[in-house]
Amino acid sequence: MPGSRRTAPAADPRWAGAGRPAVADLRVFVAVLALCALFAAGTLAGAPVLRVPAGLLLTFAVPGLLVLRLVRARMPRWQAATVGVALSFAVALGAVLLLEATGTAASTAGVGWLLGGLTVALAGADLVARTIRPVPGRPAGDEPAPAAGSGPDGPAPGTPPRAGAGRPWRRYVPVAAVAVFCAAAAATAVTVSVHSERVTAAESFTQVGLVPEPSDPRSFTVSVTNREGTPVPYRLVVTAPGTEPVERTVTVPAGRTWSDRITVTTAGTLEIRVYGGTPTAAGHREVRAAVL
Amino acid sequence: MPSDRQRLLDRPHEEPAGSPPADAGTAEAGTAGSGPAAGTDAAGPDGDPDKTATPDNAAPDGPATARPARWAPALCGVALLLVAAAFAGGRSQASWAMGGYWAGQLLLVSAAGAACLLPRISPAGRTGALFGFTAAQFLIKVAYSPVHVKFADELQHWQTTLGMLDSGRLFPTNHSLPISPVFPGLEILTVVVMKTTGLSFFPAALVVCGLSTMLLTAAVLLLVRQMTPRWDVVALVTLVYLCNPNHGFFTSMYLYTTPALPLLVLALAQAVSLLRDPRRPVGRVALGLVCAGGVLVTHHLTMVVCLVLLATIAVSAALVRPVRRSAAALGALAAGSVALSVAWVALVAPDTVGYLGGPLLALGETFTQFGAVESGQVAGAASSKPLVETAFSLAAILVLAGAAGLLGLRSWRRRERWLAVLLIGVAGLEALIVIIRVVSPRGEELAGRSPAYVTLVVAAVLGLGLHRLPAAVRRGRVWLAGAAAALLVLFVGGITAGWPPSWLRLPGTYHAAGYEAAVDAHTLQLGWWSREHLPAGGRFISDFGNQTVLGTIGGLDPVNSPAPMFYRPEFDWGDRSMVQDLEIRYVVVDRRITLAPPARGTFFIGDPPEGGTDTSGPFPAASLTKFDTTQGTGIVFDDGTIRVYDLSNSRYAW
Repeated sequence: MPGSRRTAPAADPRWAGAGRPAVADLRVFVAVLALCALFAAGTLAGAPVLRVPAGLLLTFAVPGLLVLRLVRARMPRWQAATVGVALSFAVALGAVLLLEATGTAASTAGVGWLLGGLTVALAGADLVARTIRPVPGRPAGDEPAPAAGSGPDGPAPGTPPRAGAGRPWRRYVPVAAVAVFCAAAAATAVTVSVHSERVTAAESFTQVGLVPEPSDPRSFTVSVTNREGTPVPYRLVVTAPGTEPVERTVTVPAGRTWSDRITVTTAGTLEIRVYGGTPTAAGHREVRAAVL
Repeated sequence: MPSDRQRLLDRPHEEPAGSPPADAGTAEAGTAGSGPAAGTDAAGPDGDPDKTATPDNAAPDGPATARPARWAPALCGVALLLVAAAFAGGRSQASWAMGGYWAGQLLLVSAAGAACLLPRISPAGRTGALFGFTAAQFLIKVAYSPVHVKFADELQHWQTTLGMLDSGRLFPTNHSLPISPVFPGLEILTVVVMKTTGLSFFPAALVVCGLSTMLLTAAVLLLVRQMTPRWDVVALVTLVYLCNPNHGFFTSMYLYTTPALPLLVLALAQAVSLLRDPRRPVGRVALGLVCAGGVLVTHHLTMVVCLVLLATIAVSAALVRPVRRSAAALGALAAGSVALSVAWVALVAPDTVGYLGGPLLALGETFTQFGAVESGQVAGAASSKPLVETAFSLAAILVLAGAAGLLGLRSWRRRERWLAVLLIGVAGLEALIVIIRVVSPRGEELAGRSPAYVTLVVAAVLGLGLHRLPAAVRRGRVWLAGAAAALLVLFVGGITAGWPPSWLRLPGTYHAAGYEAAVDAHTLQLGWWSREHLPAGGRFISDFGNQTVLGTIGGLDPVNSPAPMFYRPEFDWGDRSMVQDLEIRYVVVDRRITLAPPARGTFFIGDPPEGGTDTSGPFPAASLTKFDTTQGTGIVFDDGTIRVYDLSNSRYAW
C-alpha cells in the first residue's frame, strides 16, 4: 500500500533506518559538494586543470544522474549513464532558459552559480528524500553488506580463487591498454591534422581597410593589418580631395594592425594606395571613398 | 502463459523459454525493484553488458567463451590514423591520399562489422566496437576541419553562438539562418560549456558535438534494446543505423540536428518502453516529455519527426488490441509533446511554419509533377557525382529496403502479419527515398535530410524483425559473407551519398565558390575584419564562399541570387533598381573566381546550375571591372585578392 511507505513503520526491518542518512547517500552528497568546490576553486583561481573537468561533469553528467537518483530510477549502469547525460542536457537547457526568462544575462558567474546551485539542490533533495524514505532493504547508517567471501578474514574456506583475485587491477590492464592505444591514436590523428591544416592554410597577405566614422561621414579610419608572418614596412600614398598626395611609411609587426584617422574637408574622392607586403597584380592595394 | 502483449513484443519464435525480456531502460519513479521496467535488463545484476546471459552468447558456447573483441576499438584507432594521414596527404596533394582514405574507411567498417557479426563476442566487445566506430567517425570529421568550423551550416550556428556571447541573451539576430536563434539548444549547450569550463568556442563546440554523437549511439543501442535482448542483433542493427549517410559528417557537425537526434531517440525509447509495459508509466512519460522538450528547443525538423513518431505510436497503441493498455500513457506523452511544441512555436518561433513549409511544398511538388518529369531533369537530379558513387548511394538504400522486405515476406509466411506490415512498410519508406532522390528536381536535397530519421525507424523495425525471426541471423559462412557485403555496401553508400561530395572528400584544395573549400584564410580574416569594422546587418552580395563567411561571422546580411549584376559587363539601370530595392550596400569581389570554374556548378547562392547562365568556365574578369569604374563606388577593403565595394555614394544608389 503506497501510504505505508511514507509512515515507515519501525516494526518493518526495511524501514529501520528511516530518519538517519545512509553512509553511501552521505558520500554522494559530499562528493557533489566537493565537485562544486573544485569547480569554484578552479574558476576563481583560473586553473583549467580543475575547472575544465569539474565544469564538464557539472554540465553533462552530475545533474542528470542526481535526477535519476532522486526519482529512484532502476536501470543498468550504461542506460543510467545514457539517460543521465540526456537529462543533464535538459537541465543545462532549462537553466539558461530560466536565466533568459528572468532577464539575466548568461554570464560566467550566472551560469556557474545556477548550475552549481541546481546540482547541490538536487543532491540535497536526494539526501533528504533517502533519509526520510530509505531504499528498502538497505539498513541506513551502515556500510553495504560485504560481498560473499570477501569478509575481513578473506575468502570463505573452500572458495575457488577467481581469475585476477588478489590483483583485481589485472583484469583492467588489457582494457586500459586498448584505451591508451585509442587515446594515443586519436591524439596523433588530431595533431597531424592540425599541423597539416596550419601549414596548408598559412597564407601571407595584407589587409587594408577604409571605413567612415559613424558620427562623421567626412572622417575615415584607415587600417593596415599585417598577415605576412614577418614585420613589413608599408608605404602609404594618401590622396585627399583638394590636396596633394601625401606619403608616409609605417612598419607593422606580424599579426598586428596599424590604423589612423583621416578627416577630409572638401567633397571628392579620398584614395589611399598601400605598397609593400605580398605582391599583387596591381602592384599595390587600394581603398577609396566618395566624400559628399 | 504469455499475454497478448508479451506475444506481440517480447516473445520471439524459437527463443529459449525463460530468457529475460528486453529492458525498458527508463525512469521509473518509486518502483524500487518490481516490474519489467524496473531493472530487469538482460545484463548481469549490476547492469554490465559484459555479464549478460542472452541468446547471443548463451549459445552455443555460453558466456564463458565470449570474447571481448578488444581488437575492434584498436583497429578503429588505426583506421582513424590512416584517414587522418590521408587528409594530411590530401592537403599536400599527395597521390596516395585517396587510396589511404578508402583504406582507412574500409578498415573502420570491417573492424566494427566483424565485432557485430562474428559469434561469441561479448556484449561489451560489441558495444565497445560501436563506440570505437562512432568516436573514429567523429574524429575523422575533426581531422577534416581541425582548427575551426568551416562548413557553411556550422558557420551559421557559430554566428548564433557569437550573438549569444555578445549579448549574453538568447535569440540574437542571425541574417544567414534566421530560424537558428529560436531553436537555440545547441548554442545554449556550447555557451554553458564555455562559461563553466573557460574553453574557447571551437573546443567547446567539439565537446558538445562529440558528446552528442556518442550519446546518439548509446541512445540507439537503448532503443533497439527495447526490441530484443539479443546483443548481436542490437549491435548489428545499431551499426546499420551508424552507416546511414548522415552519420559520418552531418551528425558530427556543429548543427542543431546533432544534439537533437539523441534526445529524439531517447524520447522514442520511452514510448516503445511504454508500449512494452504500461505499468507505472509516470516516470517514463515524464522522461519522454523532458527529452521531447529538449528536441523542440533544439531543432525544428527533429521536433516535427518526434511528434509524428510519438503520435503514430500512440494511435497504433489505441488501435491494436494487445497493446491498448499502453494507449493512455502514450497518448499523454504524445499530447504533452504536441502541447509543448505548439507553445514553443507560438510564443518563440512563429517563423517555423513558413520555414518548414518550403521543403514540404517541394515534397508535394515531387508527387504532383511525378508524371511530368522529363528525362533530362531526371539526369540532372541524379547529380554530377561519379557514376560508381551514384550506384553505391542507391545500392545502400536498396540493400536496406531489401533486407526489410525479405524479413517482411518471411514473417508474412509465418503469419506474423503485423510484423510483416511493419517491415514491408519501412522497406517502402526506403524505396520512397529512392523515388524522391531520382524524380524530384530537389531530390538530392530532400532525400539528403531524411536518412538520420528514416534509418532510425528502419533500424528499430529491423531489430524487432530479427528478434522475432531469430533464424534469420545464422552463423554460417554464406550468411556472414552476405551480411558483411551488405554492411560494406551500406557504409560505402553512406559515404558516397553523404557529405562531403567526391571532389571535396580530401581537404586542402581551394575551390572558388566550393562550399567549405572556398573558406580559407582570406575569407575568414575578411569575416573578422567585417565584424569589427562594418555596420552589423549591412546588406551585401558576393560569391558563395564569401557569402558563407560574411553572412555569418562577418555579421552582414546576404542577398541571394546576385548573378545577373555580377555577370553584366557594365553599369545597368536594372541593377540600380535592385540595389535600391534590396538596400544592397556592399559588393564583395573575390578575384579567384576568374581563375577556375565553380566546383559546385555555380558561383552564387540561389542560382540554379541549369538556370541559363554559362558557368562551365571561370567567371569573366571583364565583368568585374565595372565596380572599379562606376562613379562614386568606394572600396572599403582590399587584401590583394578580395575587394569590398561600398555602393552607398555610388551611381547605384543615386
